[in-house]
Amino acid sequence: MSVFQFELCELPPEAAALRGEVRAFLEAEIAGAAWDPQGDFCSHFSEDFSKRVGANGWIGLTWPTQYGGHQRSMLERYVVTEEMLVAGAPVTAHWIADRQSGPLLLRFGSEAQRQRYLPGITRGETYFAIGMSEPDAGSDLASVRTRADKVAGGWKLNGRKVWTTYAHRCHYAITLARSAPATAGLPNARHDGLTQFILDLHAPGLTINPIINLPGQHEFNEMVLDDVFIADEDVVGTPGGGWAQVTSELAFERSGPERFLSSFRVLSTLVDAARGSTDARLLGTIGRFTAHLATLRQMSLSVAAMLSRGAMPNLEAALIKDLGNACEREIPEAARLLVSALPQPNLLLDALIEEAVLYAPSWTLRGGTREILRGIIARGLGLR
Amino acid sequence: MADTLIFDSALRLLRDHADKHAFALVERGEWPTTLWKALVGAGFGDMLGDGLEAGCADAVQVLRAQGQCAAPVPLLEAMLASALGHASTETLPVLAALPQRADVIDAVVARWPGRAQALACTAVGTCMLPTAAVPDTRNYASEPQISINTVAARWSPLPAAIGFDTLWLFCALARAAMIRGALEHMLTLTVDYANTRVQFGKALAKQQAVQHQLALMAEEVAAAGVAVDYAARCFAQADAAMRWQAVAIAKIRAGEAAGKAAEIAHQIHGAIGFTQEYELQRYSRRVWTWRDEFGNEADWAALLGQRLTASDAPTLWQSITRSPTHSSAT
Repeated sequence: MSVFQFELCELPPEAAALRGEVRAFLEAEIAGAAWDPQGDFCSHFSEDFSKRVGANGWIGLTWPTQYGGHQRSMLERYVVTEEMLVAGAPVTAHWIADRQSGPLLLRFGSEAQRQRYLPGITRGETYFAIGMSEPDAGSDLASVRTRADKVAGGWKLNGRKVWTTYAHRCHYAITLARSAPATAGLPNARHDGLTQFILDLHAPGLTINPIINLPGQHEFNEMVLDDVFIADEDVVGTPGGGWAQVTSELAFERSGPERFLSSFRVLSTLVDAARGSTDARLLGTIGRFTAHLATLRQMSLSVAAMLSRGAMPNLEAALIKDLGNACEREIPEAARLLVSALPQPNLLLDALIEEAVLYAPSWTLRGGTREILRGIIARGLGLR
Repeated sequence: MADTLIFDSALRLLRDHADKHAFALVERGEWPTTLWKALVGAGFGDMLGDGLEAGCADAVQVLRAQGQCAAPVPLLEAMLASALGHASTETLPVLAALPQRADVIDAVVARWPGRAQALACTAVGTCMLPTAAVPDTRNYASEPQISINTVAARWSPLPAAIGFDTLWLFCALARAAMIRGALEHMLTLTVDYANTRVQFGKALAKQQAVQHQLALMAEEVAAAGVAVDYAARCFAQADAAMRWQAVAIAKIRAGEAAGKAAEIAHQIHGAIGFTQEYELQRYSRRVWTWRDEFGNEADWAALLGQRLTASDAPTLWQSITRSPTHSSAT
């Protein structure tokens, strides 16, 4: 059965050169103790770091030069992102804008929006959050209740958004709201009448409240919108056409290396700690997870190549995310049982396992839950 | 594109000849003469004549097609014997007989004893074995085999161009490719069955619990496919270390996928899948065999772990990102 297409991708030579540059930069940052390596792309927001990355030309790498981009390939971008993740670099500030919001504006935004927002993103100075989920709209995103009412020159938004990562430090959030009531009767009625807005996170009427997550960190927020005015020029794409735009981001959002590398540093530290060991269980676990991750990486590269050819492999992306999330969740669970088999105690590994165990529940939720992903795959198989 | 052509033509031929009759013969321990003649006649036994590296890409496609049909023939063993200078004929198969582990030199497993010539092949060399008449075991798929002591063998050296390590590695890649093909067909079978079988007034496929199991199965099949494709590319193009690693990964990944996917396929099929009459068993019994042969997942994982943690090994990330075609990482 060949519903899923995963053609092997060979990275071009220029990607190898770029990888060398990124590695050298990150090694210098680590040597200079610029930051502590972090486990996750969501957990360390550093304006200074993002500006340095921007100055190197590594944000908006694939975008046209007139917006500050560098017109390089999706595969080169892939190399930059995977090197950043593996080094534990504090990428949170620019991550969403680079992965999702910028490409969305390039695809659906107006010329004025591109000129206004993209150059700041590429410099690592402008940061975006995602305003999708609501208290009563999680996986069932089409049931969002935040309302956008037409007023002179723009829209008035009212409602509540939750789980908005780093809204308290970002500048904007691409926010999904219902701009027309769902028309009953039509097959895709629930998907009509949704609109994406560029919400200024300092706009009057917007209150941002912290939501402390399980590990005790302030990453999530609640956003309360009380008559927040958004001008017409900050509507993204077509009013009422937001659903199609949101779903077009999914392949970018779900197929990247952040979907299977969240616990990579647990595994790589386990490898370093196991050097010289002859413990068969330890070596076997290392070999097994390496086989899984190396295969996931080839699958993910394959999707990156499809994206660079303009394809929208949403199905393959869902598959990678579900498989990748399962693997990244399994790694800390296996590693904790091997700590006693190591030749010597390893405090770094202990800390990384603890961090991974605490964050792991979020990995199979963010960006599409396991259950949603499996539903998408099932549809691709012709089951629904 | 050439890959697709050879895959398609092998698939057509195998679908025509790996029929009910051939399977019935093999179940009784009898040699599937017609199927064998068709394969040898089409040249599929000689695909490695220009060397393992040169023939790898095409051979892997043929083996994948064999997996898709669960074709009950020792094609890999014939390809290897032929590469070592002992080609089969339509009437007399010559099959490479390899040890259970790469480092074993005093015993080999001969397939189809009494029906085929056995060319023992170990790290010491090759040796044509006297025909053993009685098989002492059968694999999960009822295919006869025998373990033969080779202590008294008079070995000839392997051809200069073929190292035993490479040969062994190719065997592991071949089994992974066969598993991959078999799993692809098992997924098709299982999806079709779920769409057709009605219980509680609706197709099984409409049950969310069934949908999610099939999604997991599809993930395993996709991962096995990518791991095998990548290993085949590395086998043909990369240096020894890279090639070894990619094949190890493919055997681990495909072997694990075999167990998980077969379990789901059987669960969704219910009792009909547990019968001799229905075709699922042809596939599951073979993937259970193939995942154990030439190193199971645990064997390869321990070896891979050993290499990755050697004192002079590069970092894990460097090992993962090395490119098959450039000297440094890409």
